[in-house]
Amino acid sequence: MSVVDIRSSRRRNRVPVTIALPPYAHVYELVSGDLDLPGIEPTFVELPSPSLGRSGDAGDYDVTDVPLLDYVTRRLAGDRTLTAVPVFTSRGFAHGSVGVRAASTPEELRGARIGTDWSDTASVYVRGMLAELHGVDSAGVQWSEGADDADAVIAPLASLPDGFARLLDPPGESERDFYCRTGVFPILRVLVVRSELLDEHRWLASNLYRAFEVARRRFYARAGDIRASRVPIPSLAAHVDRLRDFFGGDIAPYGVEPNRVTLEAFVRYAVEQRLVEAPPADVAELFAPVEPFVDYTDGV
Amino acid sequence: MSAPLRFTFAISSYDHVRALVDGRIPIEGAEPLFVQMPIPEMFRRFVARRDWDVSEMSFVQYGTVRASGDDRIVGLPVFPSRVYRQTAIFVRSDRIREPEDLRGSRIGIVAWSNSAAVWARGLLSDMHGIRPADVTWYQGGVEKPGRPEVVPAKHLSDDVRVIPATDRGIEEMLWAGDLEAIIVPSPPASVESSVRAGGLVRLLYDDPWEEERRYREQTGCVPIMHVVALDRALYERDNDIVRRLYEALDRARREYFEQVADPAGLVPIPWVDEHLDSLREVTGDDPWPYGVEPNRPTLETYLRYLREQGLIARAFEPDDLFPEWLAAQRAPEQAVAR
Repeated sequence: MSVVDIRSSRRRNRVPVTIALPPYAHVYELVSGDLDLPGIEPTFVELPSPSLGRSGDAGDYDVTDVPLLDYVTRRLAGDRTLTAVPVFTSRGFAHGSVGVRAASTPEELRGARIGTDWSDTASVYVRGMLAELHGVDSAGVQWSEGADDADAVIAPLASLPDGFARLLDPPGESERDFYCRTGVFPILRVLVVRSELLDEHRWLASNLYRAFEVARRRFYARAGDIRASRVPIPSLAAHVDRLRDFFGGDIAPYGVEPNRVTLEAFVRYAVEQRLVEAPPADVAELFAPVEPFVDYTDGV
Repeated sequence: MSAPLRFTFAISSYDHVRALVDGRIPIEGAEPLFVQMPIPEMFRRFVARRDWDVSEMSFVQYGTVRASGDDRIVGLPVFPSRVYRQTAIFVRSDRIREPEDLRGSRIGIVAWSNSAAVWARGLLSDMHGIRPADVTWYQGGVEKPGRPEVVPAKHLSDDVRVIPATDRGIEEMLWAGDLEAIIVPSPPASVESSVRAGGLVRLLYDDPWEEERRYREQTGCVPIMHVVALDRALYERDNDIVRRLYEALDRARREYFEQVADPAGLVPIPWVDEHLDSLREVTGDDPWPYGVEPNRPTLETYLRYLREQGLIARAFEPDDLFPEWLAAQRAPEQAVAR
């Protein structure tokens, strides 16, 4: 007689991959094991929310997510240690982060002194929005690092400093207007893989992409479920349904093509703001090529 | 220290519960084993055979049984599933053009005591004045005929007609034109695709989301479908378990809301803050509370529906639903010292 443990022998036949991420609801079913990562034996490490500040070095893990600005800057500077997969773990508008002392319209900020954090990804979009829609040109503004003596601040992920009030209030209206006019839904963080691992296993990027896409779809299906409330927010299906209408189907898609407008705008803003020297010939170059997702639920 | 209380706990997949199922949030002094399976089977096996000690179950069944004086199941005011049922009423658009057309119609239901059906009948009555006696009800399975009624409506008034659908499922009856509408918490594929394509069978409401909002503002309710309950035998072994179980479930719920509010988008729903603000105008600060007091308007409406729909006979108050939990709330110190 012998003990049969096919599960553990199968695990040995897979590539061990350490995946470190904050507790994203749209990734949860991978972490819990409800969804499989084909060919991969994952070890998940839970990181604190990015809103609590920077945590660790991305190179500590095989797979993690990093701010889009950090990744794009390093990649365009020739650093190929990490390669992104077009899985956008965190996105969001941050129009509520513009704080002003006295101004009542964005146009009044032309030539003003504005405190900003050049290393922050969300701020790239906010500065881009001020320039593109309101002529608050990067060159015409006196930028400063702090709030002292500033007429305005851009402060995502933090409450506004004393003496400052929201310029775009409520922010949602301004954010939707920005999306309608530009097609940009800011991408804040992107999934990255140690490039050495991708070199070793050429199929890995596509498998990660597919698995994260399935988890994302499952999350939105749960959020819109009218049979039972999988997410504890009354009438959430109503909100999700309206979001689908607003975004024209998919709410926060992965992949380069559905996000081309956003990625190109991000790179353009970064060049205008002198955060990178020149854009890539094609934003797709920033990512590992991946097999487009096809839903085989009804097939084999 | 005494040995940890061991028990089995069956509950479906909910974002606001999973920290318990994952073992991230412990239940003080307890070693639970978790079981997950399709909701109807989970409910049935708990009620019929107590296959597990703690279970999610139908809230209508729970209230009906408790109000009948049967206290073999002990509930907690923890409500994992809450859904407005404006999206559970499907009609033939050739016969029903507005809600008032349902007066005098034939409506199929899976069970009189189905929680979705109770809330749907309640909203038809509260919003459109269509009372149970104004409709002929056909009760049976969606696809297969003859699904037995789990909780008999013993106190139904004589003018309410509930006819068992014994030869066909209510889905087939609807398409055949022998029903004008069905109320189902989970629409069958033929109905779902017809709704999507704008076919013959549609939702009662063109804009169910707007109707949900109107109903919420008029009644102050967030309809409760399911409750967490335990076998009295477990409760007798450790009265205080109701307090500790509640606290762990409440903590999981609160931690999930912290994630919803996290500006890093841990829960990726754009402008969810605006949605929550609009809810809070009705629900107060907490849009998904556990406990009796913050749910009083919903619980009172629910008990009124049970009475109006013949499921309970006597006056029953929200506090009467959870006396064991209320007792444990009042006396946690004594219970711990025990």
